[in-house]
Amino acid sequence: MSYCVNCGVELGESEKRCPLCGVEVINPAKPYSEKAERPFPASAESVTHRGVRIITAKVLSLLLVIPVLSVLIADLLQDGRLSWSLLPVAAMGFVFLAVIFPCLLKKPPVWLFILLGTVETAAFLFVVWVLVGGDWLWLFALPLTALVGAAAIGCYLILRSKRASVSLKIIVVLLILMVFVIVLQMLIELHLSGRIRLSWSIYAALSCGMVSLAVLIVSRLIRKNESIRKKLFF
Amino acid sequence: MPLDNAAKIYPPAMTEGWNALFRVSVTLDEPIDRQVLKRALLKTVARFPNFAMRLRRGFFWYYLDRLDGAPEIQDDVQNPCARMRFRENGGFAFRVRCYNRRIAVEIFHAITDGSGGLSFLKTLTAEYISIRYGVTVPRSGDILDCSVPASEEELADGFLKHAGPKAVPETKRRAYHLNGTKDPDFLHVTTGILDAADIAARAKALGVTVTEYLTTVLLFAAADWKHVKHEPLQRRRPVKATVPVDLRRLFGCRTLRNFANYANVGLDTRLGEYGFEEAARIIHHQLRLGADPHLLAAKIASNVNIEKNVFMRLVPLFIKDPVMSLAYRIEGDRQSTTCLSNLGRVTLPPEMEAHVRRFDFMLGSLIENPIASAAVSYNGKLVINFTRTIKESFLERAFFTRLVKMGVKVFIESNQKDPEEI
Repeated sequence: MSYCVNCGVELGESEKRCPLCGVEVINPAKPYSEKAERPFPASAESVTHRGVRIITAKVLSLLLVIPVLSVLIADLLQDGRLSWSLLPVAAMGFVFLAVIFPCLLKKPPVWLFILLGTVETAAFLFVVWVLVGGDWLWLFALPLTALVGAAAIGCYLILRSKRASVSLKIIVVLLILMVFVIVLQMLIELHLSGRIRLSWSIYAALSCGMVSLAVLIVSRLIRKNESIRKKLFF
Repeated sequence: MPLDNAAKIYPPAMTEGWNALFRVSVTLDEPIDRQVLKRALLKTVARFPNFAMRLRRGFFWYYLDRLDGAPEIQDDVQNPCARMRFRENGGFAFRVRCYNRRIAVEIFHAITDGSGGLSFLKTLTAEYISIRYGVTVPRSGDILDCSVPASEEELADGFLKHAGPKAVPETKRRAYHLNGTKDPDFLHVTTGILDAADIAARAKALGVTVTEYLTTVLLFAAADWKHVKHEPLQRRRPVKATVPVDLRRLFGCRTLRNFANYANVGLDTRLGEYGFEEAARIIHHQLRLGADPHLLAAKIASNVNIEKNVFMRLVPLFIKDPVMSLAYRIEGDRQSTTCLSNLGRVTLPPEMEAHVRRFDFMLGSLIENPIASAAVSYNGKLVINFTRTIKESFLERAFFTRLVKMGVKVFIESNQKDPEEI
């Protein structure tokens, strides 16, 4: 007859630790014996899960095969060569990589997710460029994709950060937005006229900068000044 | 045979890894003779036609189809009430498991409820004892006579018969939800054995029943959990416990199938700290109100109305199935924090009492709530089983240590794995 020193309950002879709190049972008068009859046998029934997500991913992939094949066959029947059908096939490949493939991963970190999305988008644009041609890819589409991806990852990382204060998060996001707007207009101007001339982006960037400056000042003041903190309490 | 009103939700709700199970078991004084048990089981299943059934899909509803014989007797396992695959079980929706001196029956909730399951187990034990020891066990009450066939009344759907004239749907409010590290494939069982007379005396001193007393302790344990977690006031919800109410006695019905409803009782700890006595009184009144036959009849009527609804009936099963599954998942047991099912005191004729040592009752994992508890008392011992699918044992600890602090003697055993095995 042993009691748990922590919970005060009497324990069955087969219990090595208290089932309630996990404290080991040490009773010099009655050491734990392996032979004591357990309330349940030692072998457990194993429960196997057929992963629902994996099944879903497989079914969706199979469903995707149907339009891919039909488009390819239609194109082949037309003139015996593959021409326009490669575009929809590339689009469906993009859908597969962006939607179905993540289903197979257990819990991908979000930044990896964004990074993969950026790379996939770039690859898709590259395929379209190979098929269609033009001068839009290297100086406009790819840098723009990289810019959006980098900005999204930056925002996500700073917002998820546990050490950064709220004001710091707001300031960093605004600064990222500022850089984003300026680089965006640079890319557009470069692509359209070949020269860099900033116009509208300056106003957007300036307002972002001013708001972040205001947040910085207010947060400093609040931290330093007791009376302002009292006025602004919420 | 169509499923009864309460059972209709369970087949759509079941998934690859989960179905609604509960388990009743009996411990005898000698190791179980499986050959004898097999013979006893065949006779008992013949007496309980709702057990000799296979679950099938119809076009509009699931239904039960006759099945001959009885399932094979299995070895008991460490994790009871793991999901049941009917195909591995000869099509039967229940299984009989054996371990040393114990016979356990695990039952899919679509066949019957706790009282029906206990009646089955008691009849099975009576058959077993009379074959094994050659004694004649008198049959009365819920120990049924296996030489006569089941009557029509015993197989009737009590819900259809006893639905009230006016349907009053229940207002549902969400309750506080216990969270922990999920461990869905292993049902942790913690058994506490209390002195039934002591608990009854304590409950009587407060002017409440044993169920009400235990429910109060359980709600306090859940409130402790909340306290420990430091939930902000806005996010706290009342702690509530679902207490099943057996309708057979209330409505004078003798069905062997599902015929239970429940009362949802609780404390709103946002209003402040409750003392134990006043909480017990509140639970007492809440349960009395919840077990009012007129109110229950109105609740049953609203459930029956859903089943009788023309649209509900004419929608094919393949559409109804996912919708009902989703509804159960969303609505299921959000309105309660945990559950306490008390089967009450088991009485046996002296011929059986000489061989029966103990009864156990436990619930399989619920869909949303990670912890459930179930109690039954026999031979002066009140056995309460906590079953959980999370790793934290806080609720049981709070429950039993509160009893210990009040001066109750508690004996604990469990199915925990050795540290080396983990």
